[in-house]
Amino acid sequence: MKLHPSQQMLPRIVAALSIVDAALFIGIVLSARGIRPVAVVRRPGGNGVFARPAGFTPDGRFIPGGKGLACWAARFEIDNCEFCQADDKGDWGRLAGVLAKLGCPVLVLPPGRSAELAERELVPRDAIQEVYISMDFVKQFRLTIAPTTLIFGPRGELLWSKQGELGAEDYAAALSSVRSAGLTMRRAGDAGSLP
Amino acid sequence: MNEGKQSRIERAALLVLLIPLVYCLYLMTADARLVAARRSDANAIAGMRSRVGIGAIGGLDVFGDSVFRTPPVAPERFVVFLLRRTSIGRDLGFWEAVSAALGAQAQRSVILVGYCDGGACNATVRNLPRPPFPVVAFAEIDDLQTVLDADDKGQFLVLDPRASVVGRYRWRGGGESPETVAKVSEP
Repeated sequence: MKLHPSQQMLPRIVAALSIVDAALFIGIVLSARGIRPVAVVRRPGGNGVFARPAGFTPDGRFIPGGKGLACWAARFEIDNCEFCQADDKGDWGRLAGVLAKLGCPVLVLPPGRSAELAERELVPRDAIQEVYISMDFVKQFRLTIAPTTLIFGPRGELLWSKQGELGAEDYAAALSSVRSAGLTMRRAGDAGSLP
Repeated sequence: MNEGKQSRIERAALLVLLIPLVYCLYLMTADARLVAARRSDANAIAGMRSRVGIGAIGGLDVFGDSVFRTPPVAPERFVVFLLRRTSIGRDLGFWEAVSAALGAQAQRSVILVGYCDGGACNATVRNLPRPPFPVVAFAEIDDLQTVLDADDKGQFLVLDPRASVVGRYRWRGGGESPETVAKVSEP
């Protein structure tokens, strides 16, 4: 029996489709790996030294830029973000506690006024939220994923960063970076080694 | 094997293979949407600004004043651009020329807003004669990133009254005169 030309093509179409499916599957797996948020995106340029950016709090208080701090941390976070809230109660909460003991001020940076956090939501509680900042900091980092955590050392160098919710291994890695920068407990009664 | 039966099996295989194909394509689209939502500052500026309203454009200027203490009357276009410290004289001169090139009617309906690229720029502009448009020193992160991203491509942004981006045009790198920029900025 003579096959219709379209029937003759069928095995080739099936084979081609198998290849396309396999390619798409591999592509999606690789793409998912590609978008997994880990390292914070640095913009090109700059000298690798980051002062705490000057800015304004939601109530209009001016916060001058900080230089000469032993350390400081920035947290890009938005209101009503379940990952941020889980992180605040989890490993970021723990890490923020350690940073407070080290005397490292934490700056909370929402993407805009409509995403600012209520004061009671700030972690740590004494964190400063800047809703308007100068371009200096934005020129250095691309902040698009919430939460994003950045920790800076005594010379303003970036010690550790992470895009996305922290896990136990991130907490350990952040502590290790802080240790390697030689930071020690500053609060009375906290003398001793880091956890 | 019977050819008819073989053909049926191949058709069935085709159908089975089509399902993951369609699903993969769907996933890719969803993935693209996720990436776009995270990375598209144009969406961010449009979304955030349209919720906050016109008064949110800007932030605080280099003198520490709110950029739009008095919101502009019936603006039809906002034109936002970056001013770089390294070329501040040239940048300000260009946009002053754009302001002058706007027609009398357009000067009321087209609002130019410059964004300084950092503390050094803010300090420099403070010590120069006040330009005919506000220069923002402190603003929301999303807005700053949007302006910066556009400038990376040598562009300025044209926004509608709801602050949605309606146009991106090149101005850096020469080739565009202030008159051309003024013309594309008009509604």
